[in-house]
Amino acid sequence: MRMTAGTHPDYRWPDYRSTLTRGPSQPLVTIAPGPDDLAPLVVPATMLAPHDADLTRQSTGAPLGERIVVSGRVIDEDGKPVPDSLIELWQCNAAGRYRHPVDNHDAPLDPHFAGFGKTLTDADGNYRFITIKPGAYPWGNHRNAWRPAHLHFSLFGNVQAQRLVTQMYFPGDPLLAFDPIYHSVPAAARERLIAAFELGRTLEGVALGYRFDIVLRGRDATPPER
Amino acid sequence: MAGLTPSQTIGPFFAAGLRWAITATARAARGDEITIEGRVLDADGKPLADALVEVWQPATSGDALGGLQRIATDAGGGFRFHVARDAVQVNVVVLARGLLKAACTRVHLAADRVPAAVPPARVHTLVALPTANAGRFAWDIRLGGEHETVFFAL
Ligand SMILES: [Fe+2]
Repeated sequence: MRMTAGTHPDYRWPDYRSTLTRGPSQPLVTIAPGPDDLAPLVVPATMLAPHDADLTRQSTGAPLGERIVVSGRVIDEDGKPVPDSLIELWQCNAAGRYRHPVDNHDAPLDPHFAGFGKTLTDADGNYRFITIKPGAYPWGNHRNAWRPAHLHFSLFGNVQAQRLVTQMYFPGDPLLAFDPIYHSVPAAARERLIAAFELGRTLEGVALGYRFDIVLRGRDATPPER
Repeated sequence: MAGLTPSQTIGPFFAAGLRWAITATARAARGDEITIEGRVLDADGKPLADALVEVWQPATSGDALGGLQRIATDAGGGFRFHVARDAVQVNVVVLARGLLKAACTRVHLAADRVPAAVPPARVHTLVALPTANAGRFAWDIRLGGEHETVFFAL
């Protein structure tokens, strides 16, 4: 994952407490990318199952919650599409609970919602997931700390240097104002993490539509000035 | 130029969603490989039981997903992966709750392979050391503290 000044959070962000013991504090060492960093990454389509991109159809019944479509385009910073690249998505259910052994939030699990999926971008970098809107959940970082509703995204890009792990938020969420993880991003870049509601992407009678476009490092990017 | 999408933490709850590739890329050491074992540790020396380690080598025909090995650390912060004995470059990416962006490093089997840009006093943090067991090397990833591992801005 490449670092560019002004876009990514610093490792240490005191309002997010665990960064103080887990975030490196020594300066990063700048080196030029090696051939492996720029080697093409090909993901076999055989790794995808039919309903991997539709989290509402992975069980014998429908999950509870508001159905949504989340779609967009993955491009690089030169505006070129990032085709045939792997995107992984994971999230909590509509009640704010993850299907995960260490999630002890007192909210119900949904037997029909696993909360994860994956897909490949098409030749133009487009992707689309169908899922349900995740709930907010408390996380104990500070008094009355609640995460705004979010989807976790993991992107591989076309080369290792483009790898990105991030989170997508929803427009108008009042919890964004109080979330140190969201606020760890420099102000000028923060709103890139908020999806746009679009009637044009909405499936009439089925699911509300959100657009979330994602911009990865250019394939030939040089190390940032430090 | 379009504005880059910022990084956010992987959080503590990735295990179910990302397990498929942990499973798909898990394998035994090949004939020309050695095994590297260690722990991910925080600035206080406490192990991270909820870190994801991604190891990248040049892809070979037997790989499930390029040259990737994806490992979730165990309850003691432990990980294990395999690298070619003569590897030139092994990239290691650490993702975890409390890491707002990936921590990118490299592991080497000899100090003279470490990039020249690394300060001499910190070279040892990138070198896996042989153990009493043949074919097994030891290397810890320290996110802070006196022997903090060198992380790279690529
Ligand atoms: Fe989350």
